[in-house]
Amino acid sequence: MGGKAKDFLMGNKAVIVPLLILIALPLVQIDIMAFILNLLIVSFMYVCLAQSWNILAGFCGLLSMGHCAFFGLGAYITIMVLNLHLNIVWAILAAAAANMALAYIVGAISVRVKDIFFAMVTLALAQLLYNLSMQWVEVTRGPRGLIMPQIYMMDRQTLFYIALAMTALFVFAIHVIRESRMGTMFVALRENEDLAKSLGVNVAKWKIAASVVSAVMASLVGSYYVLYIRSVQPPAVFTFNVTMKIMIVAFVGGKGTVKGPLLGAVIIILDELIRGWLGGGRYSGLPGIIYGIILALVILFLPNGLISIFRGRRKAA
Amino acid sequence: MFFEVSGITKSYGGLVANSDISLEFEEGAIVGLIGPNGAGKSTLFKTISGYVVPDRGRIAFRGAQISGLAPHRVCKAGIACTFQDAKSFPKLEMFETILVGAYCRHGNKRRASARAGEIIDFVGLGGKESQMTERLNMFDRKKVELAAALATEPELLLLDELFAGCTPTEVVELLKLLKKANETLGVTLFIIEHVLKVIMSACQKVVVLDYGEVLDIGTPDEIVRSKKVVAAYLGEDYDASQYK
Ligand SMILES: Nc1ncnc2c1ncn2[C@@H]1O[C@H](COP(=O)(O)OP(=O)(O)OP(=O)(O)O)[C@@H](O)[C@H]1O
Ligand SMILES: [Mg+2]
Repeated sequence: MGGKAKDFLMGNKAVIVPLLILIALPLVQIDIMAFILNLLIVSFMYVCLAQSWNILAGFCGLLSMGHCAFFGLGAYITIMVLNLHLNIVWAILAAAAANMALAYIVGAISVRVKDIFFAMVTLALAQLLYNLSMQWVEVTRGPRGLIMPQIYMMDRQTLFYIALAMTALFVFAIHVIRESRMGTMFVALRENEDLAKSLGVNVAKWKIAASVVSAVMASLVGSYYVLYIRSVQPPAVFTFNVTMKIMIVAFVGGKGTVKGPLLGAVIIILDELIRGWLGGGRYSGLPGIIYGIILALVILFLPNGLISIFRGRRKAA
Repeated sequence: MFFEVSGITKSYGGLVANSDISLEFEEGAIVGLIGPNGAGKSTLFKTISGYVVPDRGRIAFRGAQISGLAPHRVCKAGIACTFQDAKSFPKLEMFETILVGAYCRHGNKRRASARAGEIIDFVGLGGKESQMTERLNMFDRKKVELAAALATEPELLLLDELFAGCTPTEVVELLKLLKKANETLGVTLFIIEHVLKVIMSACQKVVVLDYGEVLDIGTPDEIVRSKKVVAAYLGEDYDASQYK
């Protein structure tokens, strides 16, 4: 594992300098540092979610339109367990376990339901969880949401480093998966399921595996979200808005690639900046319009995402 | 018996695509399957490889029943196939396409890669490993399909009109390759082909289907002389000596 990590870094020297800058960043004492760190933390979360989405949609060709379900479930289970005043580790594990169960169902569905129908089913699943979190007031407190107990509070600097470490881990994990047998099975499913079957690929097994890996990753981001935001409300996690942002990051960066979602983070930074400058009020709809336009332009002129600028004609997967 | 089909029947609504088909052959053979368009040849192959579930009948491979198995299990059992509508992984590098097949027998990446490399050399695609399959020419793509199937290390390989669209020189090259696979890798071949030259020069046994039924089974010589085959498929003006 250590050797692989070293090879990966050496093969991608371009990431070393930005990585060192990011590690040193919180040590700089300037007024807007809190703002910058928050901006980066939100970007990191979306990069990680995009990586998770990338496994299902980018690698396996399973268009998940309800990806917020995994993320939101992770957040909810985490905050519920934290409210029992258990160790954070238990909260993270419980959330991951719940997501594995959900992912197993999603994976099994994906074996039977294809393409746009799979997209609709995942969309419905997310909506179901949204409604559940709104209605099941005894457990979720409905629209008021749940609040993290004070004892689990962390300072911004620590939270920043956790997000950075999580992002690095995710990118590396995706790289390892893509290079492994699992990655080859995933892309074979995306390219041609019938051909894959004829070559001995157990479609159900690998689709469920993809779903589980993807869900556990999203779940970890959900757990992190709780530690960072310190509360969870249904509209913040279980809405299509979250799924759409995840998809936009992956699309803009380059879906189906290992490093694409990293580049896709620029869209989140842009979004946050524009919203910050405009504030609420009468222009609050503008960011949506702006990144709608950006998305359209990217899909029109760079269908393989920003990553294609850097890699030219090299392999798309 | 190495391979045995007994009483396979499959209908689509009122149309009987395969009607009570029985045939068998020995290990190491090259067997042809011919017949007019719509005779049910592809349906039979799809049934063998698990894509179509037959209404009746059974298929046995080395004595074990394989009818009813899912396609990937049929492949694991040792029967690989290529499709009439040539399938590919367009956006994968050629090497990874073959690797998918190699993973069928080797879970370990290093061993699967080594196997894929051997097969690539075997079919003569060396040097094109990192090209995307969609960028290869049609003939190379056919070889990729064949190589991926061979990478699963089949004992029996079903080829559905692999030669379709090939130029005469390509037919000769592909035929050589198949004979080499048959002789050196010991793969038994079952081939659907409209190019009769292939059938007549390579096969020891030919099965003729017509309207979903077995019309005749015999050696190529017997088949070209068979009155019913000539009437139903080859045509009255068919000149057997032309394909010698
Ligand atoms: N999925 C299906 N649904 C309905 N009918 C089908 C289906 N598949 C095949 N058929 C019909 O079954 C008959 C046999 O088809 P099949 O593809 O097996 O013929 P074939 O011998 O391979 O013909 P060709 O030489 O044209 O490839 C045809 O009449 C075809 O239209
Ligand atoms: Mg056919």
